[in-house]
Amino acid sequence: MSGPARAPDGSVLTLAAEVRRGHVSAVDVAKSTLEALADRDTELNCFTDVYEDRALHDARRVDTAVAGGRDPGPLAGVPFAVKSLFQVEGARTQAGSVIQMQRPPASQDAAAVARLRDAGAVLVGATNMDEYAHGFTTENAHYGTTRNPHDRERIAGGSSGGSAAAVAAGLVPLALGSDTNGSIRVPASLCGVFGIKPTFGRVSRAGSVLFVTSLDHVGSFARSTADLAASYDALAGFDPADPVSSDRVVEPCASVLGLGVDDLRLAVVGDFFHRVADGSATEAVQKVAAALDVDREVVLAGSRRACAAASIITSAEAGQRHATALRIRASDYDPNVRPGLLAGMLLPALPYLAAQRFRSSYREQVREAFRDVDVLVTATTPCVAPMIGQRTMDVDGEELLVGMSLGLLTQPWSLLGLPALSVPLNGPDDLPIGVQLVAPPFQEASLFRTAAALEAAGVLAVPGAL
Amino acid sequence: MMRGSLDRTAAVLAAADLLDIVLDPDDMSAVVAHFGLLMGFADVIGDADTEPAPVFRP
Repeated sequence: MSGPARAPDGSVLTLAAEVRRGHVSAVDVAKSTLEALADRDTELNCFTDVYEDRALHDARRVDTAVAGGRDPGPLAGVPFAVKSLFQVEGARTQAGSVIQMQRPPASQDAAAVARLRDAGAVLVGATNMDEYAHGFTTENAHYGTTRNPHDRERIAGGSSGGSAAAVAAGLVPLALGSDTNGSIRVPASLCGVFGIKPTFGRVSRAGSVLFVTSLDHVGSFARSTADLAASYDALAGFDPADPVSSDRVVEPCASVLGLGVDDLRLAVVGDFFHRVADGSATEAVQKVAAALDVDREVVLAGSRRACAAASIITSAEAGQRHATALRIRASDYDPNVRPGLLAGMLLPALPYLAAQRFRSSYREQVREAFRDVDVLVTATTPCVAPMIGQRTMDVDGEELLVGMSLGLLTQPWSLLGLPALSVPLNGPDDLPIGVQLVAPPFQEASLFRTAAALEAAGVLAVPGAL
Repeated sequence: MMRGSLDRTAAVLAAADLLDIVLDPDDMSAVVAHFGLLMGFADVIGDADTEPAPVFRP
């Protein structure tokens, strides 16, 4: 069995340093990664497209820069994958749909793809997802189900499930995803990798197929805090091509990982966030709280309403976005996605406006909580990965749809555009489960410092080769 | 004073008709179920009329 070329410690930054020094060829890294994809992805179904020619071309460009004494970038030669909703020059932007495939190939890379490429990283392929990012399971009627590398009979989570599973399986060390209600954090939790959803507007969405305009975020997956921070530093920044992009100065995160958390005020979120989490999720939060010596709990009374508001805004905006296509070619949609989009399209304006109004008041409530807290801690998902095909799950004594309930702990934060980072822990039966760290807007550095402290304390599960 | 008496399925069909959307009969039960979920979420949010206007900033 082949495997992707790795640095001895598995670190992206070590690999990039080796490439930059000319000790390792970016082309060799790309070739071994492509061999691993061909060899190992058949069963997992992480990838929907592999860009072999482009990967080798970009890798040669890196090697040429190194040979010529030019700076190839901080992520020189590091292979990465992208959720299939990002534009890749010369390729059709699938977004998990067949409708997209009848559109012309992209004339340029999405901004996030371009930023990683500018940093020297090498794109190797596009990954599977729920159609148009509508879902939490990556069970796609057109392109199949992505299997969880920890248990092939379980889902990888979604909607960025292909990216999370590819990183968890060690097929690539970095991957891009998008997160509307939890679509980075949920699969990160279920696959046992690190995932960051930065502040709304911190990473450009230009060149990505949007799902819900007022909730969509771009972020990344990695196998360690340092790798995730390196990708975040490369991705973050103002982009005039994205109307919601922030021009606030970016605080680098890779350089602050060793600062510790002594000056950070941490608290676990209780009530709703505790009731929705099952035993494994609660135990994971307790481990993190114990490691960080957190004895404070805060309650955000409106959190159930926040989930309801996020669901209404999602359905209404997504329904509107797909209104034209739903009128003329509804049968081309994934049958598991189409009813939700149609229902959102038919929704009256009043619930949508009430949801947006509630969003404003909930923001004030959470802002108040952050007056004397720097990082909030919750479980990322209510439970470990459900089985493939499982339709319902027990949440707080209530039988709820898997497809809507896996995001109950992530939705409140994306509703407010807050940065959130999921770290992996070991759950029952060798299945991973994530704990979510949440900070005020643009305070990503606090999240990375906390994640690094947990990593140093030995609390986190280190993703192995699966 | 008039009050409609449509059940949820009829209401979904009426809304679809207003928006010129043709619903596949095989989708009807799922669309109605999703619509019901969303209206249930509206009940969870409740009356937000007195809360601040929707100006979104992170």
